[in-house]
Amino acid sequence: MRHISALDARQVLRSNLAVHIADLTTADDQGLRLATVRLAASRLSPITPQGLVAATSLILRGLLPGGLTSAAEIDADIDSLILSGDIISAKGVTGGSSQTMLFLAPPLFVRRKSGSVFVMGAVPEAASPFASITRALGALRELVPPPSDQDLIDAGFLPFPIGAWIEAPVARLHGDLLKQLDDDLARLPRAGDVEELEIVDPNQPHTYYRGRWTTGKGASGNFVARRRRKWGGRAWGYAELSGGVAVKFRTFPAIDARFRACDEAWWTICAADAAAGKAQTVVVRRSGSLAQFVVNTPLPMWIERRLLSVGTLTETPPRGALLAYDVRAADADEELAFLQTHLWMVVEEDAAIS
Amino acid sequence: MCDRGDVWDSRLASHFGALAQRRQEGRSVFALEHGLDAREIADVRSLTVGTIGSRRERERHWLPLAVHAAEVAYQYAGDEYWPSFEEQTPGWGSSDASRHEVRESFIQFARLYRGPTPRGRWADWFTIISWPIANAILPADLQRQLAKALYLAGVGLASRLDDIDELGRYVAAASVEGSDRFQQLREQPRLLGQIALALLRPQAVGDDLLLEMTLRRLASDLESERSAAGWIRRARVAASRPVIKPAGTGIGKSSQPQQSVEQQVSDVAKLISPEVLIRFDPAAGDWGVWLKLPNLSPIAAVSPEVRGALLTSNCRAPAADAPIARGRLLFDAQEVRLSRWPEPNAPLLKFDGMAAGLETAVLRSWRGPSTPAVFRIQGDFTARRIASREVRPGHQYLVAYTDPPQALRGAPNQTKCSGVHLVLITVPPHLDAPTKRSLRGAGMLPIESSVIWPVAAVPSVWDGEGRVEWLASDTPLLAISSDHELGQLTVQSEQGAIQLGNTVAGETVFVSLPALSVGAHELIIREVPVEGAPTARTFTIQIRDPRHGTEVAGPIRMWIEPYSTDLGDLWEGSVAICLAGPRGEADMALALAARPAGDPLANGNMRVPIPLTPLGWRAVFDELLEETELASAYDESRWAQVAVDMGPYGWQTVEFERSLPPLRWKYSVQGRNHFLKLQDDHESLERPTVRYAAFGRPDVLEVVPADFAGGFVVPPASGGLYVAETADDLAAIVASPPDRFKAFSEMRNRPTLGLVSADEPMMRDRFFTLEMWSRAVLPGHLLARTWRSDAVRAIHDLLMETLCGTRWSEVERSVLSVRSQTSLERLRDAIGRADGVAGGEARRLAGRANEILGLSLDTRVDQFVTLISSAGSFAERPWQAITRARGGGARRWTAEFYLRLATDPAIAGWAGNDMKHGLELAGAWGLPLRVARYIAVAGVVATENTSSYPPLFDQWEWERQ
Repeated sequence: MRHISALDARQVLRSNLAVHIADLTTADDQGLRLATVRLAASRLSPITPQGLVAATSLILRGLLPGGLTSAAEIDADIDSLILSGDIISAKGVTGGSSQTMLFLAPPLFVRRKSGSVFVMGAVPEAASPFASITRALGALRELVPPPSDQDLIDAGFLPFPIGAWIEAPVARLHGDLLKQLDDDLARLPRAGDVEELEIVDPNQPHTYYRGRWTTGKGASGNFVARRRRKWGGRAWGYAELSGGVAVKFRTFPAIDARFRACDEAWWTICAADAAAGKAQTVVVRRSGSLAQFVVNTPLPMWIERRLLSVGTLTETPPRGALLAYDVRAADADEELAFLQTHLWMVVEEDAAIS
Repeated sequence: MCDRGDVWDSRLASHFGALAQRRQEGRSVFALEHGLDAREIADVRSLTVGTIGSRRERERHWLPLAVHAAEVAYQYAGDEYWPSFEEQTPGWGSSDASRHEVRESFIQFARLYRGPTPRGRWADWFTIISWPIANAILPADLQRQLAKALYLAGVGLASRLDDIDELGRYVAAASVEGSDRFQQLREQPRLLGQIALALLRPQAVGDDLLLEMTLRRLASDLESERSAAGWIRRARVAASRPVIKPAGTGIGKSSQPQQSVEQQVSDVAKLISPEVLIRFDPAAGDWGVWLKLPNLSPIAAVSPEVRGALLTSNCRAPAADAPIARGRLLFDAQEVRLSRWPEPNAPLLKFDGMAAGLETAVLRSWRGPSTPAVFRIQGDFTARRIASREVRPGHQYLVAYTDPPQALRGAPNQTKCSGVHLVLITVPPHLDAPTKRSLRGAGMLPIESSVIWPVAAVPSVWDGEGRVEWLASDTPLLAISSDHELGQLTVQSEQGAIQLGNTVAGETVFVSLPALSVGAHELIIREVPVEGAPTARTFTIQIRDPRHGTEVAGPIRMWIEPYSTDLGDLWEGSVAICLAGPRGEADMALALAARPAGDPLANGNMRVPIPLTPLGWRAVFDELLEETELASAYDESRWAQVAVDMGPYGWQTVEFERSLPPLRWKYSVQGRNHFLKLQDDHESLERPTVRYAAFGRPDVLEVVPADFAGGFVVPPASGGLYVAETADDLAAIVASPPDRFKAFSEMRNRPTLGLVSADEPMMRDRFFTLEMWSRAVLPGHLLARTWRSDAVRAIHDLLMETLCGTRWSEVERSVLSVRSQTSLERLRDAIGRADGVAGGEARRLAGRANEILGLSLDTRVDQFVTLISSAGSFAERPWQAITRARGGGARRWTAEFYLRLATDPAIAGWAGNDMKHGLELAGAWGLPLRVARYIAVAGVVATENTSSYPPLFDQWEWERQ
């Protein structure tokens, strides 16, 4: 037994995570936090989102800067792990009531068109058999070099068809999506107090995502919104405001329960922008065998998974951009068409580089 | 007689002798390790066939006979050994050769070469064929079961490869499933470990574990079956993984062989106690009390006997009305809602049917919390108990009182759970002296000492204050922080202490702990504040081995309730397949095959809801059985697999095998003929007697004169119940009704029953017939289920009419037909207006019918005991007989007798010799029987089921004896 420094304590965290998750020698604070959420989910699931936030925050308390272990940050990590397929969010029964629970996915692998492999899920309490060759790309865990299907199956990972992994909602007109949400909201009774609400303010520049969220002071109409939950984290939804006061709030997902609440919010933001004549833009920079897609809005998981199936997330997006993906050139046009039909995006070729 | 025979004798003797010498003491040599190629095996076979005619020659060449018999056994798939043996040994059936000679040859083999001696229940049943089968190492059907057991054992294998006894025990404990014969292998951990190690590390095996050539043959046969091959490959990968960290001195492992099983169980149980917790139910707007049951696999791992006891006993929580899914206990944690506060210091659970010593060992530390019990509310609307009752400024707690202090009597009770007053306490951010006093007065211990929390390693349990559980693979680390300046901080463990000097307010101190062994450890934390009094407190750390069950991967949980892998139980509906997990639907597929994992004879598919309860399963299964392909394939099936696929949520399977007791009926359908054959593997000279009851007259069993040597054809019109009986065994089967009907009306069975007098021997005989119908093996034929159900209900109704009277039965029939509360009132009136204590108690019980129906069967029996107190004054003679036989347990036995009499068609087997006295009592005093019937019928009115059997009444599914 000995007294150790905070730096040494972080090293203990790193080594505990490495046994079960991956080699995290070079992981930054966000990487350590994400791996901690992953391990906590694997050990404690099924668990409520609030429970997972609380458990993760406890383990990291005193190890990472306070701002990095806020409920909102951990909540965002949980969303990332749902995107990667490691965690499944579904209605389960606990405490006698049906509520949203987080379940650890079974060990599965997805082989991309390029032959590369990423894995999801785990066997609870068991060390990852591929920890030494696991490379973290955000929440995605890629195995480098990719093992054969047989080796993966022998290690307990079952193949998961990429077609199922990239399942998406049916394409529709942006007006139809908004009408469906408006009608849904209209049927709701007036809400009680909705505290600490933020809305996506249509008056803010649509190319700067973080700046679009405002308190909605004085606003009236229907907006994509989020509110703070009592026990941490954020609830995403669609809100009706009158003079800056929220009178109704419809929690997402309202249209397709297969996806996360934030996916529906980001989908709706794209629809609202398109309806307002300010459709989101995807800038394409073609270079040899790759095409870089640069966007200024977060993408729902059903589109992000598609892009990740034919490419990778660019670690450092171009200055001023929110996200960028390096996509195989051969698949670029098909994916651009998908962005146009499903998110009503405008494609802009960056001639300066092509 | 023959030089050839002498050559083989000599060669085999020399081979086995050398092998026994090379092999370490304590490891068996198997007759299958003969080292012969296919051509040589054929030659040994032909030699054996050639010696059949002469007893002298057979005795002389016993060793080739043993090798040949082991070869036949190697192909054994759990069905019929002797027909295969006779087929491969032409002339055996017509010679004077006896099966006992086969056993003698293996006994000789065991004596000379350390061959295995079969042990266990299966060996006791099958006293001859268990010898060649034990010598066949891993016959066909066991190969698959062992492969699956190794796969389920997972990465825990790696740390046990150096000790075959420990490996064998671990593999035995890792698999929940398996036939009776696999159970036999489990009961021999050294043998299992020897085979397992040879399969897991084939490259490292010389002849020391298994002859290399035999091992290659086993491995090759294993790999010829797809799923078995996959399991073995995955088990090898798991076994080759580096061991993360030694788990310390594992409790319940062979490293402490001096400990009794009870002591080992008690030690393990301490580490996995159930937890009483409180959770907010947003829908109800109040706090519910829950009992979180642990995954019992660590207890099951202590020994196969303990595992068996856990599987077969009936687990219940006295404070809960909801049942516990005992089929799930061995691989998963689960929660049950408590309707009553658990009695302080009384066992939280009961295991009915478990040996008292073992139950005591399990439950020694699993006791209801004493009150006041303090629960800290955590961030997810869950409140966990703080055993130390410490409370901190600024936090919220729920405090449970069985008798609240005067000052809190007016505080709102936060729960509907009875027997407790739950008070919400918000501790203010700053504690002054009066507040501290009032908290202490209310049973809490206010503290302002440092906050301690687990950091850098995810705990599997954390109570929020002073108790944490980590896995042995974690490097544990604690953080300590105080909101005031400390002059000294000391952390002391069993292995030493560290002392820190001045610690400023708000500073976080990290304390790294040494590698801790599996078990409970205590730290003492002493603080000397710069201002104020020193404090000392304990902090409990529990360490346990990781659990690697692959069956818990993914969110779906699938289990059999109650646990049984007998295909007959599945078919009959006496077990249910249950599912838990995210709400939704899953694809379920049922496949029937003649051999384990063989080509399916028939498949059935359907969508099922999740969660799937036993009641839901019944509806699913009835629908599945409408697939006539399944029904017609059932009689030829020995194996079934139920698979559930939920796409990205994963998939799960369970397998069933037909159980083959030594005395059994084999039923087959060939064209329009139904063929029935009696197989008796008791190897005794006694011929079973066979009796028959027709569907049309199900209450009378008549002796059937028949030659069973070659089986017999059941005439198409003679479907019904066949019962074969020897002095100490019996087997019953329902033969199918006719296949073809001239009119639709013929598809209904209208049994005609003879009059029954209340005469005890006649009643007892009819109850025996009823039990045979209720427990008989069913054929696949769809109508057989319905007609069997008709027979059971008709006989039971008649017997109840005889005991309760015609008027009672008329009212009962009317209630069941209209199912209204008004009609139920009439039945309640018909119970009678008896005065005195018994009459009052009977009316009280009837008035509580719905409440009683919500209780476990065992608790229902408890409710009836008071009524039985009057038995002696109504029927002195039978009551005295029961008292003599049952002693102090007479009242409880009688209470259960009446409840079973009303609802359990298999009561005769349960009551045994006391059935006679019980029936005499019921004949003389029918009041308790009418009350029991009333409660059962009230349950039907409330739920709207049930016309089929089993069960006779919903919510009355008694344990079978």
